[in-house]
Amino acid sequence: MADGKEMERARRDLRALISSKNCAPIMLRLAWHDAGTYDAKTKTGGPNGSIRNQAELNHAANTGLKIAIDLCEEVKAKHPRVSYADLYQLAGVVAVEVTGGPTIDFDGGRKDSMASPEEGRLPDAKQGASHLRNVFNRMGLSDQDIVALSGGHTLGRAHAERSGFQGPWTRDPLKFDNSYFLELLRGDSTGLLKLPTDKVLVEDPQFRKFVTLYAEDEEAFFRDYAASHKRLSELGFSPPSSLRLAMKKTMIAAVVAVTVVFLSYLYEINKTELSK
Amino acid sequence: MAKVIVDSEYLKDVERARRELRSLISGKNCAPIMLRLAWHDAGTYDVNTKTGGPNGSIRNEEEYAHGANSGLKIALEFCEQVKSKCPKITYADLYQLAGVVAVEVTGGPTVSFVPGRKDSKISPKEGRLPDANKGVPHLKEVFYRMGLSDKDIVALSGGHTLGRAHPERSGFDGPWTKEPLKFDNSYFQELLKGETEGLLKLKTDLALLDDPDFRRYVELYAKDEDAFFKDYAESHKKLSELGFTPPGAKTIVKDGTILAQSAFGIAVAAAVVIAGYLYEARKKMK
Repeated sequence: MADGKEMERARRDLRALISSKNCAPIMLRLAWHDAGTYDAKTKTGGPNGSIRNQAELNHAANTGLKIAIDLCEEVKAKHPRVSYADLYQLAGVVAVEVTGGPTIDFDGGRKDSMASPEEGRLPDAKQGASHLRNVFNRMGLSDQDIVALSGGHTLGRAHAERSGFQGPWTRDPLKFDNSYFLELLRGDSTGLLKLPTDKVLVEDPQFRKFVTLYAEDEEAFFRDYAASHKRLSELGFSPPSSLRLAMKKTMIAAVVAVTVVFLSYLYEINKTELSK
Repeated sequence: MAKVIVDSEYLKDVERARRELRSLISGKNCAPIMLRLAWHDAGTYDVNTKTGGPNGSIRNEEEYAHGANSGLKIALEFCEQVKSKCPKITYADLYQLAGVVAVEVTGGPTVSFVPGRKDSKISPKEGRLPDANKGVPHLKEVFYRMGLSDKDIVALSGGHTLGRAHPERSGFDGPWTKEPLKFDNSYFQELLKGETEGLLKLKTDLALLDDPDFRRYVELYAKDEDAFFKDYAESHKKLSELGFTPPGAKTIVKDGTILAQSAFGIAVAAAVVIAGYLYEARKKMK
Protein backbone atom coordinates (compact mmCIF):
# COMPACT_ATOMS: atom_id res chain seq x y z
CA MET A 1 0.00 0.00 0.00
CA ALA A 2 1.20 3.51 -0.69
CA ASP A 3 2.34 5.64 2.23
CA GLY A 4 1.32 9.23 2.91
CA LYS A 5 4.28 10.66 0.95
CA GLU A 6 3.47 8.60 -2.13
CA MET A 7 -0.14 9.74 -1.94
CA GLU A 8 0.97 13.39 -1.74
CA ARG A 9 3.13 12.91 -4.84
CA ALA A 10 0.19 11.35 -6.67
CA ARG A 11 -1.99 14.26 -5.57
CA ARG A 12 0.51 16.77 -6.97
CA ASP A 13 0.77 14.90 -10.25
CA LEU A 14 -3.02 14.86 -10.47
CA ARG A 15 -3.16 18.61 -9.88
CA ALA A 16 -0.72 19.23 -12.73
CA LEU A 17 -2.57 16.84 -15.04
CA ILE A 18 -6.07 18.03 -14.28
CA SER A 19 -5.17 21.73 -14.43
CA SER A 20 -3.18 21.57 -17.61
CA LYS A 21 -5.64 19.36 -19.48
CA ASN A 22 -8.73 21.14 -18.10
CA CYS A 23 -10.24 17.71 -17.51
CA ALA A 24 -11.65 18.22 -14.01
CA PRO A 25 -15.24 17.41 -15.06
CA ILE A 26 -14.52 13.99 -16.53
CA MET A 27 -12.26 13.07 -13.61
CA LEU A 28 -15.03 13.94 -11.18
CA ARG A 29 -17.44 11.81 -13.19
CA LEU A 30 -14.96 8.90 -13.11
CA ALA A 31 -14.71 9.04 -9.33
CA TRP A 32 -18.49 9.26 -8.96
CA HIS A 33 -19.15 6.39 -11.37
CA ASP A 34 -16.68 4.11 -9.60
CA ALA A 35 -18.22 4.88 -6.20
CA GLY A 36 -21.88 5.17 -7.19
CA THR A 37 -22.37 1.45 -7.83
CA TYR A 38 -22.40 0.75 -4.10
CA ASP A 39 -25.17 -1.35 -2.58
CA ALA A 40 -25.26 -0.89 1.19
CA LYS A 41 -27.23 -4.11 1.72
CA THR A 42 -25.04 -6.50 -0.25
CA LYS A 43 -21.87 -4.46 0.28
CA THR A 44 -21.00 -4.80 -3.38
CA GLY A 45 -19.77 -2.18 -5.81
CA GLY A 46 -18.42 1.14 -4.50
CA PRO A 47 -15.06 2.91 -4.90
CA ASN A 48 -12.84 -0.09 -5.65
CA GLY A 49 -11.36 0.66 -9.05
CA SER A 50 -13.56 -1.93 -10.76
CA ILE A 51 -14.60 0.70 -13.29
CA ARG A 52 -11.33 0.05 -15.15
CA ASN A 53 -12.72 -3.34 -16.18
CA GLN A 54 -13.66 -3.25 -19.84
CA ALA A 55 -16.95 -4.91 -18.93
CA GLU A 56 -17.85 -2.02 -16.64
CA LEU A 57 -16.47 0.66 -18.96
CA ASN A 58 -18.83 -0.74 -21.58
CA HIS A 59 -21.87 0.10 -19.46
CA ALA A 60 -23.88 2.82 -21.21
CA ALA A 61 -23.59 5.11 -18.19
CA ASN A 62 -19.80 5.05 -18.53
CA THR A 63 -19.58 6.12 -22.18
CA GLY A 64 -16.61 8.40 -22.68
CA LEU A 65 -14.89 7.57 -19.39
CA LYS A 66 -12.03 5.69 -21.03
CA ILE A 67 -10.36 9.08 -21.56
CA ALA A 68 -10.28 9.60 -17.82
CA ILE A 69 -9.05 6.04 -17.18
CA ASP A 70 -6.18 6.59 -19.65
CA LEU A 71 -5.24 9.93 -18.06
CA CYS A 72 -5.16 8.34 -14.62
CA GLU A 73 -2.94 5.61 -16.02
CA GLU A 74 -0.19 8.24 -16.54
CA VAL A 75 -0.24 8.96 -12.82
CA LYS A 76 -0.55 5.30 -11.82
CA ALA A 77 2.60 4.55 -13.86
CA LYS A 78 4.60 6.94 -11.64
CA HIS A 79 2.97 5.77 -8.41
CA PRO A 80 2.30 2.05 -8.77
CA ARG A 81 1.69 1.49 -5.06
CA VAL A 82 -1.35 3.76 -5.05
CA SER A 83 -4.41 1.59 -5.69
CA TYR A 84 -6.68 2.43 -8.62
CA ALA A 85 -9.53 2.81 -6.15
CA ASP A 86 -7.62 5.48 -4.22
CA LEU A 87 -6.31 7.11 -7.40
CA TYR A 88 -9.75 7.58 -8.93
CA GLN A 89 -11.15 9.05 -5.70
CA LEU A 90 -8.12 11.30 -5.27
CA ALA A 91 -8.64 12.50 -8.85
CA GLY A 92 -12.22 13.42 -7.95
CA VAL A 93 -11.05 15.35 -4.89
CA VAL A 94 -8.37 17.20 -6.87
CA ALA A 95 -10.84 17.98 -9.68
CA VAL A 96 -13.03 19.81 -7.18
CA GLU A 97 -10.04 21.56 -5.61
CA VAL A 98 -8.41 22.99 -8.73
CA THR A 99 -11.70 24.32 -10.08
CA GLY A 100 -12.17 26.41 -6.96
CA GLY A 101 -14.33 24.02 -4.95
CA PRO A 102 -14.10 23.07 -1.28
CA THR A 103 -11.29 20.99 0.20
CA ILE A 104 -12.50 17.42 0.58
CA ASP A 105 -10.84 15.33 3.23
CA PHE A 106 -9.10 12.31 1.68
CA ASP A 107 -7.99 9.11 3.37
CA GLY A 108 -6.23 6.39 1.40
CA GLY A 109 -6.36 2.62 1.75
CA ARG A 110 -9.10 1.46 -0.61
CA LYS A 111 -8.45 -1.98 -2.07
CA ASP A 112 -8.79 -2.70 -5.76
CA SER A 113 -11.35 -5.14 -7.09
CA MET A 114 -11.91 -6.62 -10.51
CA ALA A 115 -15.47 -7.61 -9.66
CA SER A 116 -17.81 -5.32 -11.59
CA PRO A 117 -21.44 -4.98 -10.56
CA GLU A 118 -24.26 -5.49 -13.06
CA GLU A 119 -25.27 -2.58 -15.28
CA GLY A 120 -28.01 -0.30 -14.04
CA ARG A 121 -26.82 0.85 -10.61
CA LEU A 122 -26.07 4.44 -11.62
CA PRO A 123 -28.92 6.96 -12.01
CA ASP A 124 -30.82 7.28 -15.29
CA ALA A 125 -30.94 10.96 -16.29
CA LYS A 126 -34.40 10.59 -17.81
CA GLN A 127 -36.12 9.48 -14.61
CA GLY A 128 -37.62 11.20 -11.60
CA ALA A 129 -37.52 11.73 -7.86
CA SER A 130 -38.44 8.21 -6.75
CA HIS A 131 -35.76 6.74 -9.05
CA LEU A 132 -33.17 9.12 -7.58
CA ARG A 133 -34.18 8.15 -4.07
CA ASN A 134 -34.08 4.42 -4.92
CA VAL A 135 -30.60 4.69 -6.36
CA PHE A 136 -29.06 6.90 -3.68
CA ASN A 137 -30.79 5.24 -0.70
CA ARG A 138 -29.44 1.94 -2.00
CA MET A 139 -25.96 3.45 -1.64
CA GLY A 140 -26.83 4.59 1.88
CA LEU A 141 -27.13 8.27 0.96
CA SER A 142 -29.85 10.80 1.83
CA ASP A 143 -31.95 13.51 0.18
CA GLN A 144 -29.40 16.10 1.25
CA ASP A 145 -26.61 14.06 -0.36
CA ILE A 146 -28.64 13.81 -3.56
CA VAL A 147 -29.02 17.57 -3.87
CA ALA A 148 -25.51 18.47 -2.72
CA LEU A 149 -23.90 15.94 -5.04
CA SER A 150 -26.06 17.05 -7.97
CA GLY A 151 -24.23 20.34 -7.48
CA GLY A 152 -21.31 18.55 -9.15
CA HIS A 153 -23.02 19.52 -12.39
CA THR A 154 -21.50 22.96 -11.78
CA LEU A 155 -18.63 21.37 -13.69
CA GLY A 156 -18.58 20.06 -17.22
CA ARG A 157 -21.05 19.32 -19.94
CA ALA A 158 -23.02 16.49 -21.47
CA HIS A 159 -22.03 15.18 -24.89
CA ALA A 160 -24.46 13.98 -27.53
CA GLU A 161 -22.14 11.12 -28.47
CA ARG A 162 -21.88 10.01 -24.85
CA SER A 163 -25.11 10.45 -22.89
CA GLY A 164 -27.23 11.76 -25.71
CA PHE A 165 -27.68 15.06 -23.90
CA GLN A 166 -25.74 18.16 -24.90
CA GLY A 167 -24.12 21.16 -23.24
CA PRO A 168 -23.05 22.62 -19.93
CA TRP A 169 -25.31 23.24 -16.93
CA THR A 170 -23.64 26.54 -16.02
CA ARG A 171 -21.96 29.49 -17.72
CA ASP A 172 -18.51 28.55 -16.43
CA PRO A 173 -18.21 24.77 -16.66
CA LEU A 174 -14.67 24.82 -15.32
CA LYS A 175 -15.58 26.69 -12.16
CA PHE A 176 -16.86 24.91 -9.08
CA ASP A 177 -19.48 27.13 -7.44
CA ASN A 178 -23.19 27.19 -6.58
CA SER A 179 -24.31 28.52 -9.97
CA TYR A 180 -25.94 25.14 -10.79
CA PHE A 181 -28.55 25.85 -8.12
CA LEU A 182 -29.03 29.47 -9.18
CA GLU A 183 -29.65 28.25 -12.73
CA LEU A 184 -32.12 25.61 -11.49
CA LEU A 185 -34.21 28.27 -9.75
CA ARG A 186 -33.92 30.60 -12.74
CA GLY A 187 -35.52 28.04 -15.03
CA ASP A 188 -34.73 27.42 -18.67
CA SER A 189 -31.81 29.34 -20.21
CA THR A 190 -30.68 29.18 -23.81
CA GLY A 191 -27.56 27.12 -24.12
CA LEU A 192 -27.75 25.62 -20.64
CA LEU A 193 -28.76 22.03 -19.94
CA LYS A 194 -31.28 20.74 -17.43
CA LEU A 195 -31.72 16.98 -17.27
CA PRO A 196 -35.02 15.56 -16.06
CA THR A 197 -33.13 14.50 -12.90
CA ASP A 198 -31.95 18.09 -12.41
CA LYS A 199 -35.49 19.46 -12.77
CA VAL A 200 -36.94 17.11 -10.14
CA LEU A 201 -34.73 18.83 -7.57
CA VAL A 202 -36.95 21.91 -7.80
CA GLU A 203 -40.19 20.03 -8.34
CA ASP A 204 -39.90 17.83 -5.25
CA PRO A 205 -40.50 19.87 -2.08
CA GLN A 206 -37.93 17.99 0.04
CA PHE A 207 -35.20 18.40 -2.57
CA ARG A 208 -36.22 21.99 -3.27
CA LYS A 209 -35.47 23.05 0.33
CA PHE A 210 -31.80 22.22 -0.25
CA VAL A 211 -31.70 23.78 -3.71
CA THR A 212 -32.91 27.07 -2.22
CA LEU A 213 -30.38 26.91 0.60
CA TYR A 214 -27.47 26.22 -1.72
CA ALA A 215 -28.54 28.89 -4.22
CA GLU A 216 -28.57 31.49 -1.43
CA ASP A 217 -25.53 30.33 0.50
CA GLU A 218 -22.46 29.07 -1.35
CA GLU A 219 -20.63 28.35 1.88
CA ALA A 220 -23.42 26.04 3.00
CA PHE A 221 -23.27 24.30 -0.35
CA PHE A 222 -19.49 23.87 -0.13
CA ARG A 223 -19.73 22.54 3.42
CA ASP A 224 -22.47 20.02 2.59
CA TYR A 225 -20.89 19.10 -0.73
CA ALA A 226 -17.56 18.30 0.91
CA ALA A 227 -19.27 16.05 3.45
CA SER A 228 -21.39 14.26 0.85
CA HIS A 229 -18.49 13.85 -1.57
CA LYS A 230 -16.37 12.33 1.19
CA ARG A 231 -19.20 9.97 2.12
CA LEU A 232 -19.63 8.90 -1.48
CA SER A 233 -15.89 8.38 -1.92
CA GLU A 234 -15.84 6.11 1.13
CA LEU A 235 -18.90 3.92 0.57
CA GLY A 236 -18.00 0.50 1.89
CA PHE A 237 -14.57 1.74 3.02
CA SER A 238 -13.31 2.37 6.55
CA PRO A 239 -10.24 4.62 6.40
CA PRO A 240 -7.42 3.03 8.48
CA SER A 241 -6.41 6.48 9.70
CA SER A 242 -9.84 7.17 11.17
CA LEU A 243 -9.69 3.78 12.88
CA ARG A 244 -6.28 4.69 14.29
CA LEU A 245 -7.62 7.95 15.66
CA ALA A 246 -10.60 6.18 17.20
CA MET A 247 -8.25 3.67 18.85
CA LYS A 248 -6.06 6.47 20.22
CA LYS A 249 -9.10 8.20 21.71
CA THR A 250 -10.32 4.93 23.29
CA MET A 251 -6.91 4.23 24.82
CA ILE A 252 -6.67 7.70 26.31
CA ALA A 253 -10.17 7.36 27.76
CA ALA A 254 -9.17 4.00 29.27
CA VAL A 255 -6.02 5.46 30.83
CA VAL A 256 -8.00 8.32 32.33
CA ALA A 257 -10.64 5.92 33.69
CA VAL A 258 -8.06 3.61 35.24
CA THR A 259 -6.28 6.58 36.82
CA VAL A 260 -9.50 7.86 38.35
CA VAL A 261 -10.34 4.39 39.72
CA PHE A 262 -6.84 3.98 41.12
CA LEU A 263 -6.88 7.40 42.77
CA SER A 264 -10.28 6.72 44.34
CA TYR A 265 -8.90 3.45 45.63
CA LEU A 266 -5.94 5.17 47.22
CA TYR A 267 -8.22 7.81 48.69
CA GLU A 268 -10.39 5.13 50.27
CA ILE A 269 -7.37 3.37 51.70
CA ASN A 270 -6.15 6.65 53.06
CA LYS A 271 -9.51 7.32 54.69
CA THR A 272 -9.51 3.86 56.23
CA GLU A 273 -5.99 4.41 57.59
CA LEU A 274 -6.97 7.71 59.14
CA SER A 275 -9.98 6.24 60.86
CA LYS A 276 -7.86 3.57 62.53
CA MET B 1 -0.53 53.42 5.11
CA ALA B 2 -3.31 51.89 7.24
CA LYS B 3 -2.42 48.64 8.94
CA VAL B 4 -3.94 45.52 7.46
CA ILE B 5 -6.24 43.97 10.05
CA VAL B 6 -6.11 40.23 9.52
CA ASP B 7 -9.36 39.35 11.26
CA SER B 8 -11.70 36.47 10.47
CA GLU B 9 -13.40 38.52 7.72
CA TYR B 10 -10.06 39.14 6.05
CA LEU B 11 -9.09 35.49 6.34
CA LYS B 12 -12.40 34.46 4.76
CA ASP B 13 -11.67 36.77 1.83
CA VAL B 14 -8.20 35.22 1.51
CA GLU B 15 -9.64 31.70 1.36
CA ARG B 16 -12.21 32.80 -1.18
CA ALA B 17 -9.48 34.45 -3.25
CA ARG B 18 -7.43 31.25 -3.04
CA ARG B 19 -10.29 29.23 -4.50
CA GLU B 20 -11.01 31.82 -7.19
CA LEU B 21 -7.32 31.82 -8.10
CA ARG B 22 -7.22 28.02 -8.35
CA SER B 23 -10.14 28.06 -10.73
CA LEU B 24 -8.78 30.97 -12.78
CA ILE B 25 -5.22 29.69 -13.01
CA SER B 26 -6.24 26.12 -13.84
CA GLY B 27 -8.94 27.20 -16.27
CA LYS B 28 -6.73 29.65 -18.16
CA ASN B 29 -3.48 27.66 -17.84
CA CYS B 30 -1.79 30.91 -16.76
CA ALA B 31 0.26 29.61 -13.84
CA PRO B 32 3.60 30.74 -15.34
CA ILE B 33 2.65 34.39 -15.82
CA MET B 34 1.04 34.53 -12.38
CA LEU B 35 4.23 33.19 -10.81
CA ARG B 36 6.21 35.81 -12.71
CA LEU B 37 3.87 38.56 -11.46
CA ALA B 38 4.40 37.52 -7.84
CA TRP B 39 8.17 37.32 -8.31
CA HIS B 40 8.39 40.69 -10.04
CA ASP B 41 6.37 42.45 -7.34
CA ALA B 42 8.55 40.93 -4.60
CA GLY B 43 11.94 40.97 -6.34
CA THR B 44 12.37 44.75 -6.20
CA TYR B 45 13.17 44.57 -2.49
CA ASP B 46 16.25 46.35 -1.16
CA VAL B 47 17.14 45.06 2.29
CA ASN B 48 19.31 48.13 3.02
CA THR B 49 16.77 50.83 2.25
CA LYS B 50 13.74 48.63 2.98
CA THR B 51 12.11 49.77 -0.25
CA GLY B 52 10.33 47.73 -2.90
CA GLY B 53 9.18 44.20 -2.15
CA PRO B 54 5.79 42.45 -2.26
CA ASN B 55 3.53 45.50 -1.81
CA GLY B 56 1.34 45.50 -4.90
CA SER B 57 3.21 48.48 -6.39
CA ILE B 58 3.60 46.57 -9.64
CA ARG B 59 0.04 47.56 -10.51
CA ASN B 60 1.25 51.14 -10.96
CA GLU B 61 1.52 51.89 -14.63
CA GLU B 62 5.00 53.33 -14.24
CA GLU B 63 6.16 50.01 -12.81
CA TYR B 64 4.47 47.58 -15.15
CA ALA B 65 5.87 49.67 -17.98
CA HIS B 66 9.41 48.70 -16.90
CA GLY B 67 11.15 46.55 -19.53
CA ALA B 68 11.41 43.63 -17.13
CA ASN B 69 7.64 43.64 -16.64
CA SER B 70 6.73 43.46 -20.30
CA GLY B 71 3.64 41.30 -20.78
CA LEU B 72 2.56 41.29 -17.12
CA LYS B 73 -0.51 43.43 -17.72
CA ILE B 74 -2.39 40.22 -18.57
CA ALA B 75 -1.64 38.82 -15.14
CA LEU B 76 -2.71 42.08 -13.50
CA GLU B 77 -6.03 41.90 -15.33
CA PHE B 78 -6.59 38.29 -14.27
CA CYS B 79 -5.94 39.27 -10.67
CA GLU B 80 -8.37 42.18 -11.04
CA GLN B 81 -11.11 39.63 -11.79
CA VAL B 82 -10.40 37.97 -8.44
CA LYS B 83 -10.04 41.28 -6.58
CA SER B 84 -13.51 42.33 -7.74
CA LYS B 85 -14.98 39.25 -5.99
CA CYS B 86 -12.71 39.54 -2.95
CA PRO B 87 -12.43 43.28 -2.32
CA LYS B 88 -10.91 43.06 1.18
CA ILE B 89 -7.68 41.30 0.18
CA THR B 90 -4.80 43.66 -0.52
CA TYR B 91 -3.17 43.60 -3.95
CA ALA B 92 0.11 42.72 -2.26
CA ASP B 93 -1.43 39.62 -0.68
CA LEU B 94 -3.38 38.76 -3.84
CA TYR B 95 -0.32 38.75 -6.10
CA GLN B 96 1.67 36.59 -3.66
CA LEU B 97 -1.28 34.23 -3.20
CA ALA B 98 -1.49 33.94 -6.98
CA GLY B 99 2.16 32.88 -7.06
CA VAL B 100 1.55 30.27 -4.37
CA VAL B 101 -1.51 28.87 -6.15
CA ALA B 102 0.34 28.82 -9.49
CA VAL B 103 2.94 26.51 -7.96
CA GLU B 104 0.26 24.37 -6.30
CA VAL B 105 -1.98 23.67 -9.29
CA THR B 106 0.96 22.77 -11.52
CA GLY B 107 1.98 20.02 -9.12
CA GLY B 108 4.56 21.94 -7.07
CA PRO B 109 5.09 22.00 -3.33
CA THR B 110 2.72 23.67 -0.90
CA VAL B 111 4.16 27.10 -0.14
CA SER B 112 3.04 28.48 3.20
CA PHE B 113 1.08 31.72 2.81
CA VAL B 114 0.69 34.26 5.59
CA PRO B 115 -1.61 37.23 4.82
CA GLY B 116 -1.28 40.84 5.94
CA ARG B 117 0.90 42.66 3.37
CA LYS B 118 0.13 46.36 2.97
CA ASP B 119 -0.38 47.93 -0.42
CA SER B 120 1.91 50.68 -1.62
CA LYS B 121 1.67 53.20 -4.45
CA ILE B 122 5.41 53.81 -4.43
CA SER B 123 7.27 52.11 -7.27
CA PRO B 124 11.02 51.60 -7.13
CA LYS B 125 13.25 52.69 -10.00
CA GLU B 126 13.72 50.43 -12.96
CA GLY B 127 16.64 48.03 -12.85
CA ARG B 128 16.18 46.09 -9.61
CA LEU B 129 15.17 42.80 -11.25
CA PRO B 130 17.83 40.54 -12.77
CA ASP B 131 19.01 41.02 -16.35
CA ALA B 132 18.85 37.71 -18.20
CA ASN B 133 21.93 38.59 -20.27
CA LYS B 134 24.24 38.78 -17.30
CA GLY B 135 26.18 36.32 -15.20
CA VAL B 136 27.16 35.14 -11.73
CA PRO B 137 28.29 38.45 -10.18
CA HIS B 138 25.09 40.19 -11.33
CA LEU B 139 22.84 37.44 -9.96
CA LYS B 140 24.59 37.55 -6.59
CA GLU B 141 24.41 41.35 -6.50
CA VAL B 142 20.68 41.43 -7.23
CA PHE B 143 19.65 38.63 -4.89
CA TYR B 144 21.97 39.57 -2.01
CA ARG B 145 20.46 43.07 -2.25
CA MET B 146 17.08 41.46 -1.55
CA GLY B 147 18.56 39.61 1.42
CA LEU B 148 18.55 36.20 -0.28
CA SER B 149 21.28 33.55 -0.49
CA ASP B 150 23.00 31.35 -3.08
CA LYS B 151 20.63 28.50 -2.23
CA ASP B 152 17.67 30.82 -2.79
CA ILE B 153 19.06 31.88 -6.18
CA VAL B 154 19.29 28.31 -7.42
CA ALA B 155 16.05 27.08 -5.89
CA LEU B 156 14.08 30.05 -7.20
CA SER B 157 15.61 29.70 -10.67
CA GLY B 158 13.84 26.35 -10.61
CA GLY B 159 10.68 28.40 -11.20
CA HIS B 160 11.69 28.26 -14.85
CA THR B 161 10.26 24.74 -14.76
CA LEU B 162 7.10 26.65 -15.65
CA GLY B 163 6.38 28.75 -18.67
CA ARG B 164 8.27 30.15 -21.61
CA ALA B 165 9.93 33.31 -22.81
CA HIS B 166 8.28 35.38 -25.54
CA PRO B 167 10.12 37.32 -28.28
CA GLU B 168 7.67 40.22 -27.99
CA ARG B 169 8.23 40.41 -24.24
CA SER B 170 11.80 39.59 -23.15
CA GLY B 171 13.20 38.99 -26.60
CA PHE B 172 13.94 35.37 -25.75
CA ASP B 173 11.84 32.51 -27.04
CA GLY B 174 10.57 29.19 -25.79
CA PRO B 175 10.15 26.99 -22.74
CA TRP B 176 12.96 25.75 -20.48
CA THR B 177 11.45 22.29 -20.05
CA LYS B 178 9.43 19.79 -22.04
CA GLU B 179 6.35 20.35 -19.87
CA PRO B 180 6.02 24.06 -19.20
CA LEU B 181 2.81 23.56 -17.22
CA LYS B 182 4.27 21.02 -14.83
CA PHE B 183 6.21 22.09 -11.73
CA ASP B 184 9.04 19.62 -11.18
CA ASN B 185 12.86 19.44 -11.11
CA SER B 186 13.26 18.98 -14.87
CA TYR B 187 14.75 22.50 -15.19
CA PHE B 188 17.83 21.28 -13.33
CA GLN B 189 18.03 18.04 -15.26
CA GLU B 190 17.91 20.00 -18.51
CA LEU B 191 20.65 22.35 -17.25
CA LEU B 192 22.97 19.41 -16.62
CA LYS B 193 22.00 17.78 -19.91
CA GLY B 194 23.23 20.83 -21.85
CA GLU B 195 21.86 22.19 -25.14
CA THR B 196 18.57 20.66 -26.27
CA GLU B 197 16.70 21.52 -29.44
CA GLY B 198 13.68 23.68 -28.66
CA LEU B 199 14.55 24.36 -25.05
CA LEU B 200 15.76 27.72 -23.75
CA LYS B 201 18.76 28.47 -21.55
CA LEU B 202 19.36 32.09 -20.59
CA LYS B 203 22.82 33.31 -19.67
CA THR B 204 21.58 33.54 -16.11
CA ASP B 205 20.45 29.90 -16.23
CA LEU B 206 23.87 28.77 -17.49
CA ALA B 207 25.53 30.86 -14.79
CA LEU B 208 24.19 28.36 -12.27
CA LEU B 209 26.64 25.82 -13.69
CA ASP B 210 29.61 28.19 -13.74
CA ASP B 211 29.78 28.93 -10.06
CA PRO B 212 30.65 26.04 -7.72
CA ASP B 213 28.42 27.42 -4.96
CA PHE B 214 25.47 27.38 -7.35
CA ARG B 215 26.40 24.15 -9.11
CA ARG B 216 26.21 21.94 -6.05
CA TYR B 217 22.56 22.93 -5.60
CA VAL B 218 21.82 22.32 -9.28
CA GLU B 219 23.24 18.81 -8.93
CA LEU B 220 21.30 18.16 -5.73
CA TYR B 221 17.99 19.33 -7.17
CA ALA B 222 18.50 17.47 -10.44
CA LYS B 223 18.72 14.15 -8.64
CA ASP B 224 16.42 14.80 -5.68
CA GLU B 225 13.08 16.38 -6.44
CA ASP B 226 11.97 16.21 -2.81
CA ALA B 227 15.01 18.28 -1.80
CA PHE B 228 14.21 20.80 -4.54
CA PHE B 229 10.58 21.06 -3.46
CA LYS B 230 11.57 21.55 0.17
CA ASP B 231 14.12 24.28 -0.60
CA TYR B 232 11.92 25.88 -3.23
CA ALA B 233 9.01 26.18 -0.81
CA GLU B 234 11.27 27.87 1.76
CA SER B 235 12.84 30.25 -0.74
CA HIS B 236 9.52 31.13 -2.34
CA LYS B 237 8.04 31.92 1.06
CA LYS B 238 11.07 34.06 1.92
CA LEU B 239 10.79 35.97 -1.35
CA SER B 240 7.05 36.48 -0.88
CA GLU B 241 7.67 37.96 2.58
CA LEU B 242 10.62 40.30 1.90
CA GLY B 243 10.12 43.34 4.10
CA PHE B 244 6.93 41.85 5.53
CA THR B 245 6.51 40.88 9.16
CA PRO B 246 3.65 38.44 9.38
CA PRO B 247 1.30 39.52 12.20
CA GLY B 248 1.77 36.79 14.89
CA ALA B 249 2.13 33.47 13.10
CA LYS B 250 -0.63 31.12 14.20
CA THR B 251 0.50 27.62 14.92
CA ILE B 252 -1.88 25.14 13.39
CA VAL B 253 -1.95 22.10 15.63
CA LYS B 254 -3.39 18.93 14.18
CA ASP B 255 -6.06 16.93 15.98
CA GLY B 256 -3.68 14.09 16.78
CA THR B 257 -1.07 16.36 18.33
CA ILE B 258 -3.61 18.03 20.64
CA LEU B 259 -4.86 14.61 21.66
CA ALA B 260 -1.35 13.33 22.35
CA GLN B 261 -0.39 16.45 24.28
CA SER B 262 -3.52 16.30 26.43
CA ALA B 263 -2.97 12.62 27.11
CA PHE B 264 0.60 13.29 28.10
CA GLY B 265 -0.49 16.12 30.39
CA ILE B 266 -3.09 13.93 32.07
CA ALA B 267 -0.58 11.13 32.47
CA VAL B 268 1.95 13.43 34.11
CA ALA B 269 -0.65 14.95 36.43
CA ALA B 270 -1.91 11.51 37.37
CA ALA B 271 1.60 10.25 38.03
CA VAL B 272 2.32 13.20 40.31
CA VAL B 273 -0.91 12.71 42.25
CA ILE B 274 -0.34 8.96 42.58
CA ALA B 275 3.22 9.53 43.74
CA GLY B 276 1.93 12.02 46.30
CA TYR B 277 -0.62 9.56 47.65
CA LEU B 278 1.89 6.74 47.86
CA TYR B 279 4.25 9.02 49.74
CA GLU B 280 1.55 10.05 52.20
CA ALA B 281 0.32 6.50 52.58
CA ARG B 282 3.83 5.26 53.34
CA LYS B 283 4.40 8.06 55.83
CA LYS B 284 1.22 7.11 57.67
CA MET B 285 2.12 3.46 57.77
CA LYS B 286 5.40 4.14 59.53
